[in-house]
Amino acid sequence: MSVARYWVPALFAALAAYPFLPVAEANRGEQFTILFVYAILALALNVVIGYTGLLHLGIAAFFGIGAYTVGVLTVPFFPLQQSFLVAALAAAAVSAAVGVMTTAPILRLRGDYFALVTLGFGLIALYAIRNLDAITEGTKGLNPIEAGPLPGVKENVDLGGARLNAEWGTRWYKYPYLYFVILGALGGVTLLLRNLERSRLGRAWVALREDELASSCMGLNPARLKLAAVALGAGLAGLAGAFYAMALRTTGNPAAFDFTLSMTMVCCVILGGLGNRSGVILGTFILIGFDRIATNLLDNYLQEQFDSGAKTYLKVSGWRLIIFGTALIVMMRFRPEGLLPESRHQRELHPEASEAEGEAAAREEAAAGDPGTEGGEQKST
Amino acid sequence: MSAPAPLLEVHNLEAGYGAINVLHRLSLVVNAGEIVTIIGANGAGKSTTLNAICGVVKTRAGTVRYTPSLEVIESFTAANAGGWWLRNTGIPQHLERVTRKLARVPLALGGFLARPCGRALAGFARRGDVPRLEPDKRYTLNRIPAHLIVRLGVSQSPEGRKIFPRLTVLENLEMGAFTRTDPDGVQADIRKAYEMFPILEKRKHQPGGLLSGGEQQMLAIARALMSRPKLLLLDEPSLGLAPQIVVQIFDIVKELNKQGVSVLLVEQNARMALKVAHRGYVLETGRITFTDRADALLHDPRIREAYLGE
Repeated sequence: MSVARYWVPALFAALAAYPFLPVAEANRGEQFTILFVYAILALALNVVIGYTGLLHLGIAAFFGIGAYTVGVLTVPFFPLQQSFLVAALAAAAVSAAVGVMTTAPILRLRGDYFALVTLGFGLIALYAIRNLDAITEGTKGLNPIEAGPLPGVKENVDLGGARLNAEWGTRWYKYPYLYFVILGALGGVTLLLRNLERSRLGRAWVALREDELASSCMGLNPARLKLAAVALGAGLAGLAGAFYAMALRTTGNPAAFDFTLSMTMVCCVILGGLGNRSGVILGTFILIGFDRIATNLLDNYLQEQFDSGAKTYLKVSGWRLIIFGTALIVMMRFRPEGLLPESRHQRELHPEASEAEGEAAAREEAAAGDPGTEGGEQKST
Repeated sequence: MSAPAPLLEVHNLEAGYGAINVLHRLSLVVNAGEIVTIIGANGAGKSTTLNAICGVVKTRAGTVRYTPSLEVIESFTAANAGGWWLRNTGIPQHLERVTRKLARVPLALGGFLARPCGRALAGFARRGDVPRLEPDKRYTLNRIPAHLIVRLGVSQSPEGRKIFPRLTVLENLEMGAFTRTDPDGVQADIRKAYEMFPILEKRKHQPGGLLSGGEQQMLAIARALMSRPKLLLLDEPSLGLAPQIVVQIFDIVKELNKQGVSVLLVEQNARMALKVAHRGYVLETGRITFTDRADALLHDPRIREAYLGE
């Protein structure tokens, strides 16, 4: 695990240094910004699926609710005109509240049934957003979202003096300032979750995922723990939605918050390693990065390389879902625990490895300790 | 000899799943310092009885009364005074103030509306609140949610062991102490558990799921003891274990009892259970059909025929 301990801070440092490199481009930086937003969303989903084991298939709805909360609080169409900080906090709060309200009645459902209800919730939320014209402007989306960053700070503060090169923008919501803000937020969320995993609450979540009956016999309150997980997951998803709206400067087409997004996020979490923060970030960077950045690069490259009639088929973007699906199937066959598995899942899916480890440890201890009792124990088991 | 004080009194309990009632007017008593066993065949309702006592299965009728010791009451009150909301937000306090104001509204001036609203508000404020405990009082466990019953000193080691398979042995023990707020005491109790079950110390960094059946059972008992229970509910501790390990486990149960833990033991292995217990109940299809001192049951011809295979 020592590698995993260093690569995440190293990755963050490299990403923070990116805008200062001479090869940095504004377009690429903006694509990275969106990538960070999805990483926050995946971490949010990981709280619900990875920590408590509730398969939530409607995370995109909270993402959308977050984006539209920011929209309603900032666009000129409405008279509220809040700063982005206020709007983002409100987005997290509203999402968390909706999460608690929609989950509280279905806490008794287990496994697949819970997943189905959350799937339904995701669809309802999407159609509600699409059809509440008076609030969401339907498929046009709310725009322009150009709020000041903090209360009392105007959105048109000129940051031109701080520019390092021509790629840097002049407004706070342009690359690279928003890039830094969202990268910082991703780092903050990662730290928050790291501490949470080690806290009482984190332990309780893991125990609840392992065995609900046993945990309630230990004095844990399953309902409150599950609600806490959903509230945190939904709140973080709302925050991701807020950043998404700010990065795009519009809530965009509501179709961006559909079931496909929920499913892609589930894939990111599972690909990276259920329950493992670094894994989830890596999984998101690979999946969404491939989807949004690598396909375009490959397309351009192939179109330049070939000059025949066949090149219409040589579009990676057209094949991306097939590549996506095949990769997932291969992944599930050969490494079902994800790229960077959480150690507990690793034990469950590859018992032979950890058993060998355990036996080796037991043998060592038996050699060191009293051989008589050890032998008796093994005979009897 | 003074009359033993009842620690747990189950009276006319009914419980079940769906349309089926499993327990029919079941009554039993566990006195302080006793080992009491419930023996019975498969499906008689033994586990349901334990689950109903510790709040995992909802009861339909009857009462489960429990008398906690002064010590438990003091630590419980210190840790939970006023409940989570009160300690962290003060909202219930505020709502109760509002309720008192509403109760003073004259009936003619809308008091007939305001007073019930206030009462509803106060009720809402107390929802999920930890009950205030008073000494020398009995508590009706079947009105208290499962996770709070543990805090009253009733702890279950569930059937089939139910350890957390992917948590290590040490983490399992720490989960058992989830309700406690004294880290030093918890550490001391973990050391005590290792003394009682030396094999657990050897395995402390291994995931619970990799332990053998006997080790898992020991872990389950050790984990149940981590909440410092006054009453330990043991569900089939001999299930699936080699005879040698069963003897070991029952020795530990006796030892625990000597240290002052009362035990309610549910067993299919009637002979072993009756040997360690003080008193026994025979459960048949949800009804207590027979009860006596354990040694008397052990020599009763009907019991010998039905449960001891003679």
